[in-house]
Amino acid sequence: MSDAKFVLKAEGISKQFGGVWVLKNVDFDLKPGEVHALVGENGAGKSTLIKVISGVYSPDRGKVIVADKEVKSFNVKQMESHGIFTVHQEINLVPFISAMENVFIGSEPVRGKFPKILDYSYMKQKAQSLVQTIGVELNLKAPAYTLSASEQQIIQICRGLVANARVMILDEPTSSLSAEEISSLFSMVKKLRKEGVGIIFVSHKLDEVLQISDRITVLKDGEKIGTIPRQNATEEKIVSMMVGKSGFKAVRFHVSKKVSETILQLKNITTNKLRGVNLELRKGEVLGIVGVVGAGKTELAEVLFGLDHPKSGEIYLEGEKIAIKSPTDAIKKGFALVPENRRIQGIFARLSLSNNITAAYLSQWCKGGVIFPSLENEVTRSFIQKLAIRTRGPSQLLQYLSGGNQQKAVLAKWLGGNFKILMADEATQGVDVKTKEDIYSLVREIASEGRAVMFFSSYVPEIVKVSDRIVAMREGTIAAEFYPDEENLEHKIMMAILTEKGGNVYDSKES
Amino acid sequence: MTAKNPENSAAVAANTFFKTLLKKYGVLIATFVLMVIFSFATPAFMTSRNMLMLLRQISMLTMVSIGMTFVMAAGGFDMSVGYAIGLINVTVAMALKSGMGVFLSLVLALLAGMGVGSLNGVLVSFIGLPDFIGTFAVGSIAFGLKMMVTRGNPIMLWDAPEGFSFIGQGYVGAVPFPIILMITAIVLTSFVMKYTRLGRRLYYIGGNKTAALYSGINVKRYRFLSFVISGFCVAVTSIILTSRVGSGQPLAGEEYLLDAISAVFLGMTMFGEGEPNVPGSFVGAFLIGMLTNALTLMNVAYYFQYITKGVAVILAVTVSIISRSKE
Repeated sequence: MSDAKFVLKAEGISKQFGGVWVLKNVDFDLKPGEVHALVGENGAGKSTLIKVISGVYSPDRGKVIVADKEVKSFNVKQMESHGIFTVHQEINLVPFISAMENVFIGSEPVRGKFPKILDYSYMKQKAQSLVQTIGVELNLKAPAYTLSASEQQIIQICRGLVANARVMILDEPTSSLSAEEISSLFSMVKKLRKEGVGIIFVSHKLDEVLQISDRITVLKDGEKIGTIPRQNATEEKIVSMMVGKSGFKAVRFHVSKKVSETILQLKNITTNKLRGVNLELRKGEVLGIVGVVGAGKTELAEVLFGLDHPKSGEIYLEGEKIAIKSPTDAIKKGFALVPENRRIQGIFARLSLSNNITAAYLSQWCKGGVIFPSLENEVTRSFIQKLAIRTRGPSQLLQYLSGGNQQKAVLAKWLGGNFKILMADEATQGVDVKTKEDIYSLVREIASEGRAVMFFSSYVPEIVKVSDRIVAMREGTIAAEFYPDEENLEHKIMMAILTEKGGNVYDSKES
Repeated sequence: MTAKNPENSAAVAANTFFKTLLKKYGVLIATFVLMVIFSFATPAFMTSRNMLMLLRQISMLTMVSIGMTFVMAAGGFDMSVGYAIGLINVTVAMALKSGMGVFLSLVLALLAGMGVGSLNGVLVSFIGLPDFIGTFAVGSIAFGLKMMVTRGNPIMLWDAPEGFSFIGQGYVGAVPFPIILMITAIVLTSFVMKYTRLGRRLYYIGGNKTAALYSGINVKRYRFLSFVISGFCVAVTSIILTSRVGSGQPLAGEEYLLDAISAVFLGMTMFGEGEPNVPGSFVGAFLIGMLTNALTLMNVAYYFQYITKGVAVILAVTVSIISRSKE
């Protein structure tokens, strides 16, 4: 195998976390001057694979070969010295120094031995030539915080180029860019390709994948389904590969299709991220809301929980027009939210399990503003039993519980109260298989009590499993509606959330 | 229990026990040890007279520290307390001197304290200034105001009303009145922090502001309240101080800022799992007061007292950090 053939080769990569194999024997290679796209659902293993390649994780099995040499130690610095750089989704630049200086962070050119004086003229010259190489215009003097998302990406790319990158990993690079910015990113990618840089392109957006890449590798449930050249690829074909033969053979819940009263109606809800969402929620149903990251699911939940306020549009709760001012107000009106980010939004890690469970409806466990710890502990014990929370007792600090048990505590926080609508946003993220099943049955149970559940998820199999009805979101709006007994359902949903063609123009059943 | 190696597991248990002991009661133990040492070092230390004097001395620091405990429980900081004490000290003295009655003067002081607290609260909680900057600036304004009205001269209360003098100088039986005030405040606020919705919500906010918001807690309102409570405590402190010294001193109160923060930090290592708590803050204040008291009795130079105070805080907080990180 000659040096020119592959810049990077990963063979038989396997990686496990807590006994779960998230990557199983995956091969991946990259030629110089090639754009190789990596696609797959959430949890398919894309991000784990790029984290192995960029040195964040070391694989449990398999090897990575860079320039004909096997990589021995996996850390980011080491991989960068091999010329492998990642352009991250969340960009972290130092905000108050200039674009140019940001390019050289960690590799500042200096003159002299002592004191080492920054070589600004070299920096300026080099930065300008880099910007020219990739064919963009950029005010190098502007402080980083004034730059747009795409300009910040350019800086990250330049950082890689300064260090003679041979592999550039672009992780969801278009998620926060406008259409114009995307096209300028793509012309930049083409320039890089001409320079002989190998590019790994991770994206949810299949049209972009087809537009820019030379080869496409599809992952599913930690396994590689296949690699196809672009000439042979269509959106249909990629989606078929992504859906594949599901390892998650869902035993579907027995769902009822009987139409009950409407509890919540949204008309044309518009925010910065949402573009006219029309939606109807009925009592006693689990409404699955599916979409990729950035499709607007979390933004919709935030509007309904009073964390964001729509610029236009109307919300009707049980037929009455309402405005939701704050989370406090939302709870009063009967909303509950299991938030997307458990660690940051859901739990009080340094407080006890019982304190966590009583946080949302504290007044319920108080008389005249005074808390009764015996009552609190009693309630907590009943939830420990009902949800099978593994803990030493009500007073154990939440930080010592496992992820799944922490998530159960977040659910218990709401279960003690009298909510009408439960919104669960990626509620099974980072929890074990057993807890996932528990959460699904819990959600079904809530619906069977006549309350409504909005189950937000990017994982199609679980949406199919748990929902009475499914709406697909794409780019801030509702793209399609499905019922769980439709044929070829997973495939249709994937088409709807990943491609423009997949939508079955959604009509909210307005009277 | 599978005690394969009983000796080893006993050692582990002992080790865990020791760590828990150190973590939970380190400051308390240190206080007792120091008390024993001081009572041997100077016979004047462990007398009922000196103990009552010590408690009376720390009653003011305890009051400020209680207010600081509320603010810090909610994850904040109040840097204005030192200068605010001085401002209210001067305010009360001037009010009394101008012939305003005792009752009205006290009401005025409490309102002024809550006014300073409200200003802190509005700036930090509603407008969103960083705690350090917002409250420090308010402290600076307070300092400027009191210098402006006094022009740097003390306001002497030669003939303060008896009712007013009683607050800082009076006795109930053998017990100085400020001690009674202090104990009442400790009991009351301990209860509020531990057993009321208000206290719990402050802990939620201090524990995780975002999760508190996502649990429907009005974070801004409660943070605002914590500053108002701190302002109230500052006013009470200042009233006792004014009554004790019988004058308005433009430079009074400044040392309370660092002492109060130290007391809360010392107290955080006790009882709770590293959360600010009122009984802990009291022990912290007691330790700080005791160091000053004993070192003065032993004729140690004042600058060495400051050094000792600094070292004590560093030691206590270090112990708590180390014992926590080992879990």
